[in-house]
Amino acid sequence: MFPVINAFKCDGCGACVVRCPAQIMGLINGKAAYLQTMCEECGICAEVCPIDAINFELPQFYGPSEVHEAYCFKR
Amino acid sequence: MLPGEKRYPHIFSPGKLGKLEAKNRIKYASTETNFNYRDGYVADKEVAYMQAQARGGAGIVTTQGAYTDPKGEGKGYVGMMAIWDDKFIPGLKRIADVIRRYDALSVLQLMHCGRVGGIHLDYTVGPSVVQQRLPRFRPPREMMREDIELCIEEHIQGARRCVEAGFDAVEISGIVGYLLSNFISSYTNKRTDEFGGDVKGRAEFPRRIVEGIRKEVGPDYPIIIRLCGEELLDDRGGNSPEESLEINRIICNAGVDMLSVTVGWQESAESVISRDIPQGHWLHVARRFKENLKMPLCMAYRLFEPKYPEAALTEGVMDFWESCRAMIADPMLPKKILEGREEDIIPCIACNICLARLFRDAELTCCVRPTLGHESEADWGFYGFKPSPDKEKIMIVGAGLAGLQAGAVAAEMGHEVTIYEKNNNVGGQAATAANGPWGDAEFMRLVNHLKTRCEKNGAKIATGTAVTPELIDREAPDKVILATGAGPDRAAFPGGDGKNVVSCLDVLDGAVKPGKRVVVVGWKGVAISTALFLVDKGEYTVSIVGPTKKFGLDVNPSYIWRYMKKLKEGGVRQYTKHKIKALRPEGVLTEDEEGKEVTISCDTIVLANMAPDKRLEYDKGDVYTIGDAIVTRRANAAIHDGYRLAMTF
Repeated sequence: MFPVINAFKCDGCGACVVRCPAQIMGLINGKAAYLQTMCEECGICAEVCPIDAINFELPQFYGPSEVHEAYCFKR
Repeated sequence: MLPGEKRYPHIFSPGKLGKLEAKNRIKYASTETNFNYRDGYVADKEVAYMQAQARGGAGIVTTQGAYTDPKGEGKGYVGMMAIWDDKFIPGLKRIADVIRRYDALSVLQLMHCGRVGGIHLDYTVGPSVVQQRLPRFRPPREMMREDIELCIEEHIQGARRCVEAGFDAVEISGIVGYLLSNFISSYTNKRTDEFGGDVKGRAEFPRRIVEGIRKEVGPDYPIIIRLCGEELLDDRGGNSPEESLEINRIICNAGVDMLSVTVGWQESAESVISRDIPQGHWLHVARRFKENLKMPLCMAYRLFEPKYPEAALTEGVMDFWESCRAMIADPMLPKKILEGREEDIIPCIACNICLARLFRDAELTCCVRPTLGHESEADWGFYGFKPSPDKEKIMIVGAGLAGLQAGAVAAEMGHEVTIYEKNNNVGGQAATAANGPWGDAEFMRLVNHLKTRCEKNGAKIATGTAVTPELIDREAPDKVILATGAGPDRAAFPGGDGKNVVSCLDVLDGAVKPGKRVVVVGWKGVAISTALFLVDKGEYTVSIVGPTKKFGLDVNPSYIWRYMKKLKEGGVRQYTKHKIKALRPEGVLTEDEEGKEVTISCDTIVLANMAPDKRLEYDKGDVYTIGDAIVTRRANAAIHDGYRLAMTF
């Protein structure tokens, strides 16, 4: 799972750039960006982001009751 | 008869789980993965992972813990699967089916994380309000009697769904600080009602759960329980080993078929599963339980190489060899042992990056196996790579972890690989780090494994050969991979070429013997390792100096506290927030926080400020750079770099 940076929200504070243990983050046009092939998928960038501009969350599945039945497993 | 059966007759003899028979004595122990959906549904990734574990050939395969309550109080990991409603059964059934397909017994674990749960809530629940030692967790609330009754019922319903999903057995988790262990321990249970007080009272909650489940599932359905054998919480008023034994006896008598005995809590201030604990160390706990309880028993905890569990099984100390991290690192471990290919097993080096990732709400990651979580993706080659259509000549510069890993994978795909190494031995920094104290010699298992894999796949390793641009031109490879690693950066400070300034790698290799008073210059893990190496020798006065607020920020949290403790015990002086101005014959000139100049006097300055080794410059044709040669990082990054690059060839 790779972090997703919301460039519309990122204010370029650089907290993630400093804390990334792989040192693969930087700023492009004042917004955070990273080198994906070297990303260790640790999620520290999302944790240290003070304004939650980095998403590092597992997806939801939603229950069978909440999605169309065509998308549900057969019992 | 296969070689493994001859060599380890006890491991590969059938084992009994209640009335069922497992094909061998290996049990893949329950592990959270964070692969599942955030709302508790089983994800494809998890199914693929469990399939890998089942295909590996273990006799019993246990799923990760599933939480039993709809509010999520029992949920301790973001990607933990749920079993609080019938709507989860179809997903769970996929796991049961995939395990059964490979002839293993499937076990589902029920787990309520208790005081370390409630990951999406702002509180956790426990028998009493006892604040956590680890700051990560939320404040606990005391469970009312109705909550407890409800919780017992939820466990029973969980067990019913486990049967419905088609699992062969159910396991209940009560270890390392999860809800059952909270009730059991005198540290967290301060209740005065029937669920607290003496040994009998503290055992009441788990006993009621076992009793209820037994009633629900019938007499023949196997129930396994994981309980703590020794809490190692003496500093906080935890149970004594005798109390633990007595409580386990009460719970097991309520109808348990097998006990999985564990050691320590997450809050224990002692090492339990790290490298400084020798393999097989905790078997004495299993022995004590076996002698006293005389019931089927299994145990994990620092049993990586099969000789240790084989000895324990021979002696009758335990009935099943549980394996968790060793099988995260290589799910094919049982198969490889059976086929007499132990050198092919990807060895776990107990780095605990798996745990660190889980606690950061990230997916499980393995330092030594980059394919973790990609078992179903053919591109990642977990079940082997397809031969590449065009065979290319690949030249790898540097036989460190990155170079060896890239070489092993590229050679497996059928490329013509030669790895050049300027030293006479392979392994690079990992081989050097293996000289460190407290079990660091285990790094050599990894180095030797990668070397064997390279050789078996047909990659040539040319040691003692320094690579020059001319050599590359002469060899004319299709692809060049620069995996030259890193070394201390002498040019970073004035005076770096002084006579009293030595490289940390030379010190660890024993090539240089420093003077009595040593200053280690560096702020990352390498500096700490060097200091610990010197401390262990016992003849040096050691200091570390660096500009950062803390040292070892790159080190895994589950190791750093241990290292810091050992540095303190070894009397190492830590000069944090000291900017290094110059290295001088009399010592290190620094500038402290207030801008005052301080000279730390010493006989030898050991440089541990690692920087990429970029001495070899080559840019003709297809050139790649991996590992520390790009950015200095930890071992996992080197291995993943090598793998992720080579798999694209």
